[in-house]
Amino acid sequence: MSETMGLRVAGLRATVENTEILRGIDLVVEPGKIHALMGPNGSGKSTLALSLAGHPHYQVTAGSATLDGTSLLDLSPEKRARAGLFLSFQYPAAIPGVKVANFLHAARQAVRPGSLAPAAFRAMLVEKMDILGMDPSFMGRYLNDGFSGGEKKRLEMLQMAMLAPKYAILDETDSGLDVDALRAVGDSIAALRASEEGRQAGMLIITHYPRILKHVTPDVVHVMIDGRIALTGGHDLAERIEREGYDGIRDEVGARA
Amino acid sequence: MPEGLLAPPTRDRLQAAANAADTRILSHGARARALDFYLTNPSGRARPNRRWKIDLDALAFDPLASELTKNDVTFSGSLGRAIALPLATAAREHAETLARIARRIDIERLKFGALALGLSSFGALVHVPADYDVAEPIVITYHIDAATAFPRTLVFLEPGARATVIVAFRSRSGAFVAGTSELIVEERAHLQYATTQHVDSGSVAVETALAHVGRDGTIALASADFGDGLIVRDRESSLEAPGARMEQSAIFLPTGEGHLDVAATVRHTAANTFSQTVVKAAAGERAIARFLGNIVILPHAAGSEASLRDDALILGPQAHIDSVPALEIACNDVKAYHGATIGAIDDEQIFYLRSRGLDETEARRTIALGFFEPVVDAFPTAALRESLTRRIVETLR
Repeated sequence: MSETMGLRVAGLRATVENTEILRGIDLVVEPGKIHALMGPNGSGKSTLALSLAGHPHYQVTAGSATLDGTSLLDLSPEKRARAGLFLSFQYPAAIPGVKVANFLHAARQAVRPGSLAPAAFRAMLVEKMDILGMDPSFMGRYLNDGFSGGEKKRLEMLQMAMLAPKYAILDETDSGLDVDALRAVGDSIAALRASEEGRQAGMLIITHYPRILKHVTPDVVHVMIDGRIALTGGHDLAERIEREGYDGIRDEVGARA
Repeated sequence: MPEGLLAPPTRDRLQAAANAADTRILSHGARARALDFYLTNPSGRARPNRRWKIDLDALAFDPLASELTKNDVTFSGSLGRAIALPLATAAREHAETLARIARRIDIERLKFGALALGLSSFGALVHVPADYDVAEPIVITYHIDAATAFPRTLVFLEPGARATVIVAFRSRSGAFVAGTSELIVEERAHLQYATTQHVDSGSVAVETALAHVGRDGTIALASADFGDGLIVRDRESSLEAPGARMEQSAIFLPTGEGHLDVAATVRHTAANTFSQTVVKAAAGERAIARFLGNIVILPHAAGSEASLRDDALILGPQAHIDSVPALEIACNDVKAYHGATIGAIDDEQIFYLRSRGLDETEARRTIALGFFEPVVDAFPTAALRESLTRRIVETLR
């Protein structure tokens, strides 16, 4: 593995409205690996996701973030997407009047220009929707407009499947989902990784709860507390969080510091 | 139909029309060359709620009368047994039909209706016989080569008739156009009536529209107004018998220094009538849009249902939109809804689309097109919908 490959974050600091949220994040997601990023509310997980995606309200003040060697921080959000980064939003915006199928086609063209003939695009869309257990009528609905929480998350997963990013950050895609939807998300991730385009996709799955990790087995688990990665470990770390909650880890890290 | 409808306009005729209407408000607008309206606003910029005075003494009728003869109307579409004729021809050959419309519609009680009635010398009549379905849309095109025009569009659907009528304008730059739409939909008849107009800088477009819908009849109105001129619309639909329906969809997209002033009233006068109004207004640059939507439900209109939805999108920091929905309900046992939203394009929407690879311009265009989409869908033909979408895209560029 080349030293530049991967989604590599080093010493990343970021502020929101002059309050520092990220206080030096170091993280490497290698191609084909699944990382889970866990942590209590307010620890900065979403700030990391949105900072990497280039949300204008988040100011990166120090550090670096590269995607297979390309520095992300100098790029506009759309160029980050075209470089192969995908963010599954915790709260996806509704865009009335924009049909799901048309939007997906435009996004696919923007991210992977000219890579798919219309008929092939349609076939791919039908296949991915089937994996996610989505009714074909979704295609004609307006983007996230009047969608339930579960429908929004499924649509985020559908977008991930259609755009086949190199690296995907899933920001609490599991929260608010019932068991079936959770399984669909897991299946969708598995399907992406089984596809030609997504075989080498790296994933950063942000979550409060270990339950999504029953459907997707992470290679690495990080725990984020107060804007820093407090602990990194294997799957057993997620099990420990389920048993002890975050307080034990917070105490342990606090005692060490 | 008043005497002398198609005779050259005279000062007396206009004076009579002015007397019939409320002269205090018999006027509006910018400078109309042939008519010589007084432009009283020192800034030269139209404002909402402005009262205009018309100086009848200043009107030069002879030049106006000869000027007005330059205007023309053409038709396209396969008519079958329906009739579509220039008003001058209709006045000779179908005087009885015109008289029937005049008995039903009192366009002169509205300020610009009176003006048009006082001065009009051209227009179109569409008449569809009972239970006849005109399969193809009838397209009326007004060719306005004069500086001034008062086109009158009269549509009469006999009981059970069905038709789609599309009105288009080809006008020269700087024209003053004050037209009327007088629409009668008899019982069980179904009329789809669509108008689109682009009004450029220095031009004025006024429309006064009255529609009457009979028992179990339906009227579907769709309109789109663009440009940086002055656009004034005064529209009223009356649902006069049980089961009458009106669906109204409107796009307003003034740009530049454009000003758009629209009043739309729906009158539910009978029981079990239904109306639905959807307005999408966006204003760019320094444009002003004002929409006054009024639902009136009269005492005998039990079981009626009315909805009014008005969404406004501000596209420029200096643009201004006033949205005034109103409900006037004099009857229990009705359902009436109104809702209005107003705002700019949301940053979170833009970021969401950019995170999917669309650049900022594309993202804004996508959101704005989506904003209009439900109303574009209400227009009758695919060609018209495509041309509207193109026009919206060009306007947003």
